[in-house]
Amino acid sequence: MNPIQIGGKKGQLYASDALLSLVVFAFALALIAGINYQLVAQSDSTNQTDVQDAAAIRTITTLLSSPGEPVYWETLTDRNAVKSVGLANHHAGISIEKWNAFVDWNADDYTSLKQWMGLGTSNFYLSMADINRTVLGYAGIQPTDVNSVSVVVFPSVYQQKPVVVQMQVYPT
Amino acid sequence: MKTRGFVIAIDALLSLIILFSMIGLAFSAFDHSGGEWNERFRLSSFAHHAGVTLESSSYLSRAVTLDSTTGVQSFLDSFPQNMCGSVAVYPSPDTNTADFIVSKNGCSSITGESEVVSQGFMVASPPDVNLYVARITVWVNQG
Repeated sequence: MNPIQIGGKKGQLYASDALLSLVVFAFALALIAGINYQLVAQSDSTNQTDVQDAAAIRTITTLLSSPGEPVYWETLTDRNAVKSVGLANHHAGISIEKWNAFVDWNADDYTSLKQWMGLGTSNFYLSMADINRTVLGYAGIQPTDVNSVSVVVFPSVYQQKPVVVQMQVYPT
Repeated sequence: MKTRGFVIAIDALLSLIILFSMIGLAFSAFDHSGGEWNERFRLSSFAHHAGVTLESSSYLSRAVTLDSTTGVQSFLDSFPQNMCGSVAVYPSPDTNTADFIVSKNGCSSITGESEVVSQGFMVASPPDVNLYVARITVWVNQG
């Protein structure tokens, strides 16, 4: 937009290409600004769900794949000596002793158990059922609002039989 | 005679293409967030646990020994509603012709993302021990 003089008057010429570029720019800006708000809101919600899903996957994977630390943690009376909780026995299944100790710990002090599992402020509900869907045991608090629950199901072995272990993690 | 018109300059077109490509890329990057990784990892872990479970519970060796797939079928049917699976058992090292293939009831063909794991297992056939390979495929039921 170069200032020019026409008939002794000063003014500005608005070139068509400059106007067009302004229209395109304004359109793109409006488009980006319009969707930005939705994206941020959606992103916050998605991230929260992703983090919760990841926590559920991590927790059940650790429980089923690790014997815990120390490996004889279920025999300890001092739970402060437990570094991590795991349910796996030597045959890639769930140890009866570890499962019982886990359920006892849950009954005694649910809050400290979930802290030891690395769940922080989230709640959990862990259940184990046989292949006929008969529940063999559970620990944690069952969620009431199913909409905000991350559910992960993995097969495992308990007492030499296949079982289905379900971990539910949800916000407090 | 004056005629008005627009000149479509190549540099302007190029800048528009770049602008909309960047917007498109931003949306694409947003779609491929952590959720997809979680789903993928969940599927592959499920397949791995299914293979280990079938082997550790002796369901695979029993299916071969008894020539009955009832146990494996029950195991597959216990999968969550949105999860499908199939088990194919091959006599090692020939993994071309399966001894048997079992699929979860209601799951006929693979839809969407799938994961395959192989699980070796032994079957005693005195005085020999034969090695078999089970190929476990799991996928999300999108039907």
